[in-house]
Amino acid sequence: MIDRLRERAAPYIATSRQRFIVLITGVLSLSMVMVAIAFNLYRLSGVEQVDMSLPRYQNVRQQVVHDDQTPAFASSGSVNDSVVKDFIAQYDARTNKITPVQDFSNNALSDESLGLAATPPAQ
Amino acid sequence: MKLRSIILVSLCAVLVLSPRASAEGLLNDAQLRMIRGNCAALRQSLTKTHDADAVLRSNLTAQYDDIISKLMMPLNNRLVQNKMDATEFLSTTDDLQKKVAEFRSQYSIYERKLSSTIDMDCANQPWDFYQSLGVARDQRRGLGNTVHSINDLLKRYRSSVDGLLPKTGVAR
Repeated sequence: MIDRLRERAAPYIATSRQRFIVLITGVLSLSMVMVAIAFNLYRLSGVEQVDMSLPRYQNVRQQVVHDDQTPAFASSGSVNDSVVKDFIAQYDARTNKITPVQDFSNNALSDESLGLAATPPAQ
Repeated sequence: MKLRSIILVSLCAVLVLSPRASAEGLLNDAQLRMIRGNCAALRQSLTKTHDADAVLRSNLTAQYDDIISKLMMPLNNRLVQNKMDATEFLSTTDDLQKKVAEFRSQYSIYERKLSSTIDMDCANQPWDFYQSLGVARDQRRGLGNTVHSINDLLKRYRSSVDGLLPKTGVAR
């Protein structure tokens, strides 16, 4: 009796195994495609270039300043002398952090900085 | 027909060889030896600049975004709500947002160029390396100019805020 039942169930078991393999393969393929798309988006959008969590930025990461604590200036209310003065104080505090900082106009890539300055030909 | 072929071949040769020719013209033998001999040190030096620039870019854009979103936009809203003339403020904020977007895009192009220069085999391709370095140098100068323009816009906004004080009715 049991043998007959096993015999009759055998084709169904084989089909369900095949379905399971197809399902797993499909899910894995789909996830690989999704990961590839996401990775390409990450690279093409330029996020990778400024992603300071990358291992190559490990030594300089601590120099990145995070300032999420400063509250925003109130966007409603009257505009009087003290409000304007308060704004100026906040504005100056923020802009003073930027302007004295070394910008991209220094000569870090110049021949002199890289030790490639042309020496005049010997007379 | 023959003349046309010669012209075409010459044009192709100029197009293909011009970067190398210009780099060769700029590089003397001593510099060529320096690049070949100090290739590893040069790449290390460029990597340091690359990393320092990444930090600078990150800090600057965070500051710009904060100033725009936490200070300028709220004040602009407040001026509009109080039916004050905010034209100058809105225009400066708009210009600043455009310049910051330009800065981001310029940085992206510069970073790609500098990274590709760092990845170059300067010991065997010193001309290509130097030519690529020259392009990165120009792009970095462009970034510096954009930062200056942004600083000018920040100063312009500050002057506009100064102009508000007499309008608020209280002496400075």
